[in-house]
Amino acid sequence: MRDDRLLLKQAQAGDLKAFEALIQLHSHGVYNLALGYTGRPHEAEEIAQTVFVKVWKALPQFRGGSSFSTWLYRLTINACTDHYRQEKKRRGDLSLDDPDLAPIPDTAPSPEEIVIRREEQAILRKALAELPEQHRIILILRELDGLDYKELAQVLDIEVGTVKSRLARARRALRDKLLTEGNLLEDPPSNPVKGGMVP
Amino acid sequence: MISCEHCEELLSARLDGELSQEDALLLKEHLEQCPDCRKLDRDLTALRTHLKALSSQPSEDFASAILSQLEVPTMQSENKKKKGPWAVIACAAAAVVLMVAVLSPFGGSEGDTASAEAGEAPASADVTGGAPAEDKALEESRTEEEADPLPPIEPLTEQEALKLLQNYLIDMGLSLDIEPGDLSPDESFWSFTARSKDTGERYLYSVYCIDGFVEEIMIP
Repeated sequence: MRDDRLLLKQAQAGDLKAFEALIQLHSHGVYNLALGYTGRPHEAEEIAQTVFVKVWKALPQFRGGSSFSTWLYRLTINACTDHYRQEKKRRGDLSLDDPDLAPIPDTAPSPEEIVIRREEQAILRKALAELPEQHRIILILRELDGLDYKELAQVLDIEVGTVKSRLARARRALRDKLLTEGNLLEDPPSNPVKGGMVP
Repeated sequence: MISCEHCEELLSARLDGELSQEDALLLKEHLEQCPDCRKLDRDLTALRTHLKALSSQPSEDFASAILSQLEVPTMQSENKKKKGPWAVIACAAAAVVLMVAVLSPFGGSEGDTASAEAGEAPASADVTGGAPAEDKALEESRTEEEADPLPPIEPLTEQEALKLLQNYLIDMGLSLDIEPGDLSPDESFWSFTARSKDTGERYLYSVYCIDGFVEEIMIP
């Protein structure tokens, strides 16, 4: 997470350019959190856009009780939680055959590789979706958004010690789930995503 | 030797670069003795690689799509932001006029009634002094999103006001402890004091009975 105070101040004064810069800085984090929840790029983008529109409307009320990043991630978690519950009620569990699952973010893999990796991603997303909510959130924020322990503690409003133990339990839970549902962990991808992580 | 449960936590911390040298030695010692934890170590490393591969970027027009949805502040919305106790009294008066207009046999048409939203009508009255033609023009200029429900006739109960405030705080992603509320002497709004769990700062919230609008004031 970054220090956004200057941009934030300008955006609060109605500066659209400053707000656009804030969007650029945080779009990856917000989008990936939403994508981790939904598994569907189109829905994730809708949620992420809704969050930023809500942020713009709420900027005058934001007094810096927490950092902008913390506030933004909390808003996103709330939006995702609402969306996820509605969708789960409406559609049931995620399907492995869903054509709208996230694309493979990589350079020109062969058709066979695409099929295999799409299946792997679908298995992983399904396993993530089936984790208890607090395990799912902390894994996405750590692994996809790259938040460190201190940032996780702020966003989730828990102690750093709890972050450490919750992450360990979440990883163990996801690993156990994957072991019972296939051989995903026997064969990690040899060519991981190109530059996909936030530092 | 450390337990397997402790080992699990240390393996996770090592993946995050959060392992002390002392813990690294304890972990190494345990892994040499425990095949189950060595398997867990391999699995967690593979799992991390798989999870990172899920990371992706939004579309190129992501920011422009958001910007196209934004409302740039207008005089009308500025008036709403500045709404204070006197404006609330004006709101209440305007609402009474509105209700009379709706109930009167000479009151507005169906279209007028449908567009008489509580949140904006008082602001319009504040700006225009309630001239019907100007009110109508302002009502027509409103977007669908700004529309609020019709005003309640009875003041909100403390529970109702508290619920509105809690929903607002959830919506804003804020984590605050809320103290019991006070109803204003004219029964037009509830005041709640809340404290940030992050910083300990105190905030004052007003929840307006007429439209459920929540206003935030930071206490210096």
